[in-house]
Amino acid sequence: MHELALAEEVLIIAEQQAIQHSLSTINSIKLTIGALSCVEPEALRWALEVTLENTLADHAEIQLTIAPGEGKCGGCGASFAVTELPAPCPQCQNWQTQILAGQDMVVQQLAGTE
Amino acid sequence: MCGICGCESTTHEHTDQSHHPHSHDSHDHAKDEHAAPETETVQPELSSTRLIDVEARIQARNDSYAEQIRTRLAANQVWACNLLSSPGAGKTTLLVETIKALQPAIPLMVIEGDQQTDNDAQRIRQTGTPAVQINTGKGCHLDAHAVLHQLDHPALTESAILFIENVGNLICPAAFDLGEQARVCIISVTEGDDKPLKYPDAVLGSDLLIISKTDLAPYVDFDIGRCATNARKINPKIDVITLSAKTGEGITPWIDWIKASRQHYRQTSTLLTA
Repeated sequence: MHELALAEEVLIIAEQQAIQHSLSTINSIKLTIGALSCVEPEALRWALEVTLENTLADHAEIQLTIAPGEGKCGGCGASFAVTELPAPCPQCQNWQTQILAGQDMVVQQLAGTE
Repeated sequence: MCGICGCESTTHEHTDQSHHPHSHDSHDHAKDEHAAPETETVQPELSSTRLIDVEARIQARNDSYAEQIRTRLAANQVWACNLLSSPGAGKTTLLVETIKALQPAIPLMVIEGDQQTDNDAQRIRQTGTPAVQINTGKGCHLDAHAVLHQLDHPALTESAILFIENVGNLICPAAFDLGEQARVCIISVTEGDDKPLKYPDAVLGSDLLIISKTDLAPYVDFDIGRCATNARKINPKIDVITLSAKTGEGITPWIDWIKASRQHYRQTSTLLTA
């Protein structure tokens, strides 16, 4: 379950930000998870709850937003939102979709106190 | 011991991006230890919540290690290939046949990933090619940090090929860039031709799909064409090669693919460093 490894990375980022901004407690963490990224968002939420226990982000509120992916048809050139694969082109129904966005997992923002 | 992340190797660098404290109790939570105000006025709200814009990719640290791997391999023009598959698709057997076809003309090294045992590394070593076994324990994937520790291996000489046989798992390894130049996904004919649709992350991130164990195709209901079509629905650019490590069918196109990919990499990396 690589969600735990990813949660560990979120904690590392939170700790780095806490040092940089002189925070002693992290109250909330806002994440954007691409619809085509390699993680199940709710599994990541669980992994975060477990990983953040007894840390400076203990019981931090986890705000998860799913960002839609973006595809471009290699046939007709149409661009369109992609929420899961496979994703045929909605214009020409071809199977030439190149994925342009939606694979990232990002810590957008966090809130904390000194 | 690495003074930054606590692991046994001292050979990797930590850029500012990857610097991290591991101690979870590294911050002083006792606010009342801060200097007290000089007046006796009670100040109920000594601190307020601050909102910090971060915009940091969760995989930034792994990816920074992967970039270090790329840089270090490029210094010797070492072409690295990461192999993903479900357990039992035939990665190790294919690597043994691949090694027989490539050696001794090309120096080779293999990094093996498994939860436990060094069985696969031993099988590789029997061919005369050096192999290092990484045991992930309860871990489900190799990451760039683990691979970076192996880059001082003496087998990684000028123009060598590094094969990385990932942990048998079609889900988690897809999320970890190992600094490879090529990623190969292997699906055997005993697995079902809808596999690419069920495990799109591995297919999306791969350059090549190998459909393996074709010698068993007459005994199973696996439609090779349908599997290739399914893979191309996920990743239109993926190459597809069918082969049997047992009979040797398809091994030549696979070796040709390796050599073409490697040649392209060597030409491109020469231009970058020129």
